[in-house]
Amino acid sequence: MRNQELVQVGKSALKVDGRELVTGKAKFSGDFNFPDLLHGYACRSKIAAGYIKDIDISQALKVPGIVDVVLPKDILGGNIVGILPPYDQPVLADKEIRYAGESFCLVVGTSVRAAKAGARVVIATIEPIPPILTIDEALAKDARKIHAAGNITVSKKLIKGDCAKAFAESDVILEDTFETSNQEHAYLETEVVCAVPYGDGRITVHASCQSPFHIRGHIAANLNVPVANVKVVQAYTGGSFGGKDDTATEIGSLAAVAAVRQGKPVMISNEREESIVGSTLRHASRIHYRIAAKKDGTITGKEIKILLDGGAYAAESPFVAMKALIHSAGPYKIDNIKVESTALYTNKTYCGAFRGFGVPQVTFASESMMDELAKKLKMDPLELRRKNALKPGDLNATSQVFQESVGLIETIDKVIDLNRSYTLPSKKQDRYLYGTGFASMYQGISNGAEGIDVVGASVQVMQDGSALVGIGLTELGQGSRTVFAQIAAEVLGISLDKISVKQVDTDTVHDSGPTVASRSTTVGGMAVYKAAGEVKRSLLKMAALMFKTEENNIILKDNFAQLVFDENAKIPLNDVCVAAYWTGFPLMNLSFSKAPEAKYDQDTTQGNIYIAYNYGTHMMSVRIDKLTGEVKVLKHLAVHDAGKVVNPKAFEGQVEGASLTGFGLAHLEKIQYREGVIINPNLADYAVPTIKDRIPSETISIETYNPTGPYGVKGIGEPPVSGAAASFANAVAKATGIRFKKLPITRQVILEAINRKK
Amino acid sequence: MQYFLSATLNELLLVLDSESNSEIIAGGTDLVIIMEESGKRPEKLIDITNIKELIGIKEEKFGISIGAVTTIAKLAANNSLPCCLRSGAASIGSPQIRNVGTIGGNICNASPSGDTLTPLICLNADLLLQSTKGERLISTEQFFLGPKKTVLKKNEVLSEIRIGNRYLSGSSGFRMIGQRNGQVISQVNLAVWLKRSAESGLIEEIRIAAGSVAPTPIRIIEAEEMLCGTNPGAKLIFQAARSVQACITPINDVRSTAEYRQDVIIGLFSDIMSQILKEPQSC
Amino acid sequence: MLIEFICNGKEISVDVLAEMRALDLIRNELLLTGTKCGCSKGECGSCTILVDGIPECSCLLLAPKLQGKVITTIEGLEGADGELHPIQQAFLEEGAVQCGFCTPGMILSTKALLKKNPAPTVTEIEEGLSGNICRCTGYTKIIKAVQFAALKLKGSEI
Ligand SMILES: Cc1cc2nc3c(=O)[nH]c(=O)nc-3n(C[C@H](O)[C@H](O)[C@H](O)COP(=O)(O)OP(=O)(O)OC[C@H]3O[C@@H](n4cnc5c(N)ncnc54)[C@H](O)[C@@H]3O)c2cc1C
Ligand code: FES
Ligand code: FES
Repeated sequence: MRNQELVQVGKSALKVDGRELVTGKAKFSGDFNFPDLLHGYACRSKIAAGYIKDIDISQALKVPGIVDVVLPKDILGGNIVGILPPYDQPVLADKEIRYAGESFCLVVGTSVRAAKAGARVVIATIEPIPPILTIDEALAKDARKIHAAGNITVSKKLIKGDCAKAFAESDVILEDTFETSNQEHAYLETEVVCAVPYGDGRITVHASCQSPFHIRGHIAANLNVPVANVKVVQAYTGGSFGGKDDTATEIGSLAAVAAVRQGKPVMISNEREESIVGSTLRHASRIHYRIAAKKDGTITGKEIKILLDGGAYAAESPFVAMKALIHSAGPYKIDNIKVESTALYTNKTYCGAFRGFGVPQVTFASESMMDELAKKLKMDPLELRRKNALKPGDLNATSQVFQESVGLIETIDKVIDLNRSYTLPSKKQDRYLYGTGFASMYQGISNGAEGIDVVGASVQVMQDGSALVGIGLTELGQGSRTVFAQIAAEVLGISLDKISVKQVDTDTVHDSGPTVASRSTTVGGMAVYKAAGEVKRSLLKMAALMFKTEENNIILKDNFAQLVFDENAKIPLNDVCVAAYWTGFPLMNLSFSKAPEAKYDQDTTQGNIYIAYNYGTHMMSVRIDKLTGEVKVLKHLAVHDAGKVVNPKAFEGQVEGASLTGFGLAHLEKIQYREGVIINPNLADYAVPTIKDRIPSETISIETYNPTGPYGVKGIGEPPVSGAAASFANAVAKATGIRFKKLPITRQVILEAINRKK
Repeated sequence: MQYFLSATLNELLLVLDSESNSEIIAGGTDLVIIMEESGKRPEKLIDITNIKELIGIKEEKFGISIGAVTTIAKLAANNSLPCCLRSGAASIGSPQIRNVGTIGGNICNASPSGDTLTPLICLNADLLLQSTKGERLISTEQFFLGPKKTVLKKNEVLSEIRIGNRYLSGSSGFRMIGQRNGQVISQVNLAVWLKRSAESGLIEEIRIAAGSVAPTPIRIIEAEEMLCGTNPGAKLIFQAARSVQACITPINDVRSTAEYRQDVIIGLFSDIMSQILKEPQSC
Repeated sequence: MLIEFICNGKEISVDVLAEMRALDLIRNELLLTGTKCGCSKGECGSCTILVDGIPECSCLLLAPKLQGKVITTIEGLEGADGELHPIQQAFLEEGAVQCGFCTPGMILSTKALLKKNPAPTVTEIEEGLSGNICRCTGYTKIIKAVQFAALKLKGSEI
């Protein structure tokens, strides 16, 4: 694969499913329509904590159009959801309310309006208890236990070298605490599922979701039927960013239960408010950071304590805590590291996966500290990063060594280079403050410490020379269908317009695990590469027979099989396919790609975890209005080593989108609570960036060759979130001379700080 | 719920008088959300967007008359209107909202942050309220009683907004700020109108109104008095800004802290004043 | 109540409840599901339709208000021969589509913008699309798509 001349990979192919999307024909879950379709609407708690004494549904059942109210006892297979141990979450709250917005019953009616009217007259008697709303309240010695096991969801450690010694022998020690707020995914399409008993003795669920196989397993368990009786079909999904894992599972099960009870299709379509209060958020965090260094800038030790506020249920907290743990020391070669990462329960909306998965929070803390260290040592911040940057052959935080595809220094050098030719407007105009900030980061690719990483993909070539790719990873807008098509096209020499990629249907594709961890292109792409390779073998074998030559004299290109040494000698690929079919050579293959298993010590988190890391360095220049706190981003560079780039345009799109999400996290977006109730559950008061808030991101890729991905690819979906957020914080600090220790750093926060400093 | 599309003002007034549980709908950008959220509907919804008499911007002897059912987009695009009103209108929501929402709706909805309210107050606009019993003209300043509360009676309609010639002749400006740049609801908004003497250049009259800093949009008389009769330089403008700051009584809410509202109003005021004084034609 | 209007060139006559929103009529009765619902509050723009050529949020529009109007939904843009409208083509070619949920609304807002202003500046594009939220793209490619569409459409009937 290395140094191979590529036809499809590396080209900005148009999105293979784009036509359906620009014409409005693409069917999202909410677009299904059946004559007897019923709608489910959940009753949700208005308080953060309480004991459920009674749920009176008698009035609701009298509302015209109401056919059913599903209660916890109706979930026959057990009222449990949650995609990971400890499985602490009920589908419907039964005895106890643990967050404001938690649902306790589902009203089913002939229209959304009827179901809502029914929900309004359900009378819930909930005895309030004082909610636990902060990290400190959860950790307090005599704190009420939100779950039987206590208020700590999980606590992990990473220990490398001897931190105590490093701190004792250091020249400088810096110490500080950082905080981040909850962030909402705010995908444009809320969570929607439609469960349909098609009359085949099974239940089918069309879902806007990220990991259909999770949902399938849960529905089967909740219904108490064999998994084989459940089919989950991913509909076009209007964004997910990690957020349609847990919640889609919760409402997928509920809809299935309701559909089975009625023998009719049931749709649950979360309203925007429900999508904010009743579905996962990014973990809020408090990170205590200590850093030890020598006078020359060599960082000798880091001691980090991470507290993640995970809300009412574990959801993906264990994984997020692990990811934060591994990434908190940053992309640097540091011999002595001690990290503790703890996720906690509070009586707030539960938190889960969100683009970046714990890395943006720790990167903000880590990169803020890097700048403070540079300031203390009077070093250039980029020089300090460069000096400590991981290189091929270095031991990273978990003592894993990568001999190649470690392009961090190249990303720093690129930024140094480009920054040299960029000058900030002069500071003379006294209305504004200007500053440029930098941040380096890395992010592990693959499931890593989160479990086995296997993807199954099938490739089938038809007799007309077209090909169908099936894979269990989902398209969420990130363009993975296009990338898989490009890889299959590359291998088979078939043009892209003849390649079709299935939507995920759990009946017809192999369980490929969750679509997470920026792993689609690497682990998924490898499975497609292998399956296509097997089919290619058949085609070469057949073509060799037809040309009466050896297989290695033949290449597949532009829908032809042709002789290597005579490009005019060629046979249309469809003729080869027909011949192969009649000769009995297989035209379909199911292949697996399995990432090397993570092998590490459970107590110290030392060992091999990810199959590769994406490395990046961002630069952001801002202008701050001293009178209003308004910030304008004048320049943003996002330089990443993401291995080989399969589709440059899609790559840029990922960087631009993720960067704006990072900017939102750092500057605009904040979930606000009053007594544990979210008070801004809409897209006006929760300030998602609009087109007038966009930042001028420039994407630069440093291509290295990653041996664990097809054609050398890594992944890019998540990393820019961290880079953009952290470089923003550093730019604002540089401009104002004030170190902001809490995200988001809004206009309001900036102006108040400037005025207080005066 | 019954839907009644009213064709004339007379017909509307009669219906308003005879139906107790009725509600006027103009653009519906506020009302539809309220109805959807509460699940409550009036018995009769009276759509006034087909009443020609209530639509459009006309020049009259006394100045300019704006029909209550004129859309926000039309206001924003009309160059015969004072700068502050056009900018206030242009800062509302998004194109989709401005294309449908009306000035009458913005006024009658009486949100403390409504972006045409402070411009109308500083332009000393009058509101014409009509019912079968007759009509009354009331100044915008007197119209608001609290958030979502006005002096409008159940059987009345706001038919027209009047701006007098005097207030068309001065110069004015508007500035607002919110959490983000696009589609943003005011954390604070501020409008200023002033007239300078042709001979001396001194400020002859000035009106300042601030929104989202009290239960209703308010006038800041103290700062007006400070500036009246002067040709203010940077120092005086800053002092006036301080007095604007001192006059407001904002609260902490989901959109902003009181502290930020206090702080930022200084910048907004200075911006408007320098725009009006230095580049009065820029709007 | 009975209302009559023209949708994507077709005359429609339909009996609706007064409280029905145009969005529900379009999606559930006319089965034109390209018009999306992302918030029901006028805040996201995914329900944008053109009413007499002007972009409006169909989630805030009661169905009776469609009486006598000419409306366009995303389904009305494609040519009869299945040829994409130049704006659709531009969105596709510039990579302005990721999950695609915001796309129908974005394209209709673009159409209205370019009709009013055939050669908009970046600031004018931002103003014109400020009612349409996109969480995937970061908007940069959307701006490029609008510029590209403007170029393609120069002088021609939109
Ligand atoms: C997403 C979004 C963003 C918004 N952003 C802003 C913003 O930035 N700034 C801002 O100020 N507003 C904003 N609004 C609020 C709203 O759009 C405006 O208040 C608009 O002007 C209301 O006009 P309307 O015609 O739609 O009112 P409607 O909803 O039709 O009516 C509002 C109320 O006024 C009554 N009413 C209407 N007209 C009359 C009349 N002539 N006589 C008597 N009563 C009448 C109605 O009965 C109703 O109670 C926003 C709304 C949305 C949905
Ligand atoms: S659904 Fe209408 S604007 Fe969001
Ligand atoms: S492409 Fe997903 S919201 Fe715009």
